[in-house]
Amino acid sequence: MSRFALTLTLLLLAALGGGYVGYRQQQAQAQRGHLLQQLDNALTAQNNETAKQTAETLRSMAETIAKNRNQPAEMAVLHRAEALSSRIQRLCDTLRTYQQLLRRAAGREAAPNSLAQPEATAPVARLLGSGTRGQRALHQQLAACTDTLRRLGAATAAPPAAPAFANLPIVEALAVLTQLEAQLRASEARTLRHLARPLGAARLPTRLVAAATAERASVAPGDTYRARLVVVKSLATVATRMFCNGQPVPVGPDGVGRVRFRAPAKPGPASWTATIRLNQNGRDTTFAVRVPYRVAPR
Amino acid sequence: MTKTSQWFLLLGLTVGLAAEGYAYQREQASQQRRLARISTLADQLRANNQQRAQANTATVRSIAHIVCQNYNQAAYQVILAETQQIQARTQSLLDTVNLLRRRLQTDVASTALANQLPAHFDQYIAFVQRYIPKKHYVLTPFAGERWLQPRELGELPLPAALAALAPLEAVVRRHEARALQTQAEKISSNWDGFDKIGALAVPTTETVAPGGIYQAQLFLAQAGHRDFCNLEMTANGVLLTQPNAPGMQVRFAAPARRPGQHDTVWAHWHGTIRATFFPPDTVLQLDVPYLIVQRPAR
Repeated sequence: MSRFALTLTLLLLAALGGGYVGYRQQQAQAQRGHLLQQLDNALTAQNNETAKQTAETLRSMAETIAKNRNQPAEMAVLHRAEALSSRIQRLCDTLRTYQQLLRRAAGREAAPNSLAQPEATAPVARLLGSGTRGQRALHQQLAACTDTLRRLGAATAAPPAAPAFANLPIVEALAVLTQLEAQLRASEARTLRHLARPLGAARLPTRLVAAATAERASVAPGDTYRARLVVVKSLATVATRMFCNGQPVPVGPDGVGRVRFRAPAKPGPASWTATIRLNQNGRDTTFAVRVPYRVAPR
Repeated sequence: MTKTSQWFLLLGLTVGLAAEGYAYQREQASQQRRLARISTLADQLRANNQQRAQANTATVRSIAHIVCQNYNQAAYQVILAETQQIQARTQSLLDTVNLLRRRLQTDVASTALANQLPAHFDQYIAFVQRYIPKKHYVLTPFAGERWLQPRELGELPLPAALAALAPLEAVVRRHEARALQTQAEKISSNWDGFDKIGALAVPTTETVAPGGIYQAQLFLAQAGHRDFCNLEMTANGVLLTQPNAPGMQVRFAAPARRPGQHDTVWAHWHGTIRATFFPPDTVLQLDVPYLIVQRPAR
């Protein structure tokens, strides 16, 4: 075989091999595109759920504020939260509109949510490429949302950055838009939780305490000992003052008062009056209870 | 063929091969970019799945608490049992998905398990859709063209194969959430959300000797048996079953006098209170001292 024929054969073989590798690459890319669509669909469904939860959070904020007599400072927080939500909703609507346009450009296959031309890049460049109206509008809306999120948000709520769409095929551009919506919804949810936390009447901290009351202080060997084991949901606040028959009693840091007095010398039924005073949300409240006991010789 | 033509042919083929090589490089880069996109979306899905799992656990806990608040009525217990079954079946399916994830990661034979997944999902869907209202569309993974089939998992690079499991978990968590929500709507709590607050005194003993020291703990307490339902109380390890508001009656025989024992000795008993649902898994313990006094012989 001549040198030319040998070189030609080798080059042709290499070209064929390269062609096969290229074909396999295309297949693998299509498969990954398919997977990306699947992930995109799942994330879109989650975004829809998050949007419903956000609406529920706003409704619950309004309810809490109403229960607290619609105080102006709290109403202002609600208005800020609603303004943030409507701004983010508008941006998400824009993202969904871009997705619809891109899906239309990619054509629909028979199977639902499948694209005929997922790898086309021109429609993305036309809609969201550098310098397009779509890109400018997206950046403007995103900057406004980011600014609002920064002003309202908790320190942990990092607003999403503007994505780049240069040379992206449709299937990837769709995924980028869905991911941006997910990030926005997550930032919104975090910020709303942050805003909702201080709303409503302040609640006293509670804790469960175990205590016991014996019928008598002593028992004879082999006799039956009787007592009650009780659990108390105790509310503690530093502003609580406690009294026994009008005399103040020491209150521990756990919010429990220690009552101690000498019983009357005369046997028979007796009682004392417990009073607790506290100031909650600017209102003075008094709780009183009569506590019976028995004075009896051992 | 002339020598010049031969050279041109070889040159053309070489240029073609170089172009193929360049296309290969570009395709590789674009595959890597797509793989990164897939991983990002899967991460977002996994984070959302985790949040959804926590929310679902909270729903089950709240259903259990409402059942408990309603005195564990038989009809409510049926609903709780169904709820726990939904949770268990969901977890069992997700355990299978996690097992597949681990096998993919450790390169252990995963094909057989992957091929069983559709059957597992079909069984789960058949079970869970009994609890989902007809108005909700119950999506069945692996059914239809758009789902990546189990055999394809092995063809994907590891990050993509792992990412493909995230939408499956998302679907399962969504179905679980809808089923649990339906269960939660079946039971209603007639609790208005407000507990009465009052002063509560727990004396050390109900009877005190004439002129003796009376002692009590004074609490600002939130009343209501509702938070204390399904409490387990024990005294010296024995389960207490006799209610004695606000707690349980403790009765036991005091130890008999041992030879040489003093007429008056201190003893103590140990009480435990275990809260199953609210606050979850809380155990309170206390030691209660009492006196054993030998009565003088008459």
